[in-house]
Amino acid sequence: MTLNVRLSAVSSLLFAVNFAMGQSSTPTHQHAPTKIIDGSVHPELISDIDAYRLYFVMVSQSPEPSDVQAKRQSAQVGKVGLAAPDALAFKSSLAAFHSQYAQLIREYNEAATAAWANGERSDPTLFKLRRDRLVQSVRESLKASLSEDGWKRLDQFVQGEKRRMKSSAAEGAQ
Amino acid sequence: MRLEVRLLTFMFSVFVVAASALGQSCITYQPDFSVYTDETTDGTNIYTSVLIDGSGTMTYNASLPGCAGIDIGIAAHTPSVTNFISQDGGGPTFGGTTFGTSECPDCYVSFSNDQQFVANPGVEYNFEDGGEVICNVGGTVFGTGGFVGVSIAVTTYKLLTVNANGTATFTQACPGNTRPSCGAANYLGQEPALWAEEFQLKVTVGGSGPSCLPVSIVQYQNGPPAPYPCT
Repeated sequence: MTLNVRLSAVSSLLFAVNFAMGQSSTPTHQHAPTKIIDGSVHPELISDIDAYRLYFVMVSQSPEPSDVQAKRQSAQVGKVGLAAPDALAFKSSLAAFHSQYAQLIREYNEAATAAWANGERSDPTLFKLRRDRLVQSVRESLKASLSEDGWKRLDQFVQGEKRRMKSSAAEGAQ
Repeated sequence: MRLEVRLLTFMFSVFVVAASALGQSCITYQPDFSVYTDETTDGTNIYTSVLIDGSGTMTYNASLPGCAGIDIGIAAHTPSVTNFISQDGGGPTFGGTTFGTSECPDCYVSFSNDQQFVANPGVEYNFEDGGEVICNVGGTVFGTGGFVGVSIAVTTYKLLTVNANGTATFTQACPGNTRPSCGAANYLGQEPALWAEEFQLKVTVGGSGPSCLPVSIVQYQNGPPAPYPCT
């Protein structure tokens, strides 16, 4: 039997023993029970900033989307009922958001991965602050650039979309 | 699997067992993820998307008895998103479950699974969605899912009057014995054509009544008969 196989067998046995012991003791690698906020039941518990973030991420495409991506986006934006000029301005804002959001995540993950490799931990607080600021700035920009009717329709739509969102309690609680 | 990884997993197992024997919790994880599901249509295709976005906080309680020296460096988290379309009684299926890249447990995840398929108006498709984050050491650290029925609903209207501002008022006129599952008695259109076909997405959730979502798709036609039955 090779060393690999023996280590694997002993590891499996130890995990099995741990599982058996875990029936009467606290597990070592414990994942807190996930409390899910179901937006279809409690949309009021999904915060506006989270709803806008998820909606922007869902609908945004790169500045040069593929044909399929562009059709999907048009169908998604079509549900909002924006007039043509508003729809165009909305898609343009989303393209900028798409790039900025991806860049934020890329930078944070590079730093977090390097820290993790060195046995250090990353504090996501600053990243989440920057993330939410980005979402808020796009939101404010849309409020200023869309027609009054267009902004009203968009806001109403995003509020309604909370019904399609689910969040960990820590993510969505206000 | 490389020998180094095997060794690390082995050492991790030893610590897990040792700490459990003491009734302590060496590592805890608080997920902070969201899942958002979207479906829409352009009148021909149905587009479905499922997005998972967020991160989590892993806490290593090294000071607890038996918890010192655990190498949590081997832990990695992988997002998985389900977007699966099927039909009752068989027929083609679309999509499935896709996995994102494995990241460090502190990393941020934003991963989606998009599907599209040509849909027959009036036919209901089952849309199963789900989002999970899987830890290679601790198993599923976050997971949620759902199920809805989606279909393209078509309502046919015929011209009633042309209004002074150039808009046109249409009245529902479904060909033959067809009935609309969405749509209203009247429709205010932008073009004074003989017929207007309005496409909507009908979404059925559980046992509740369907929701009809306008998608801003209207086709105006001038030649009788009306091109589509209502669905």
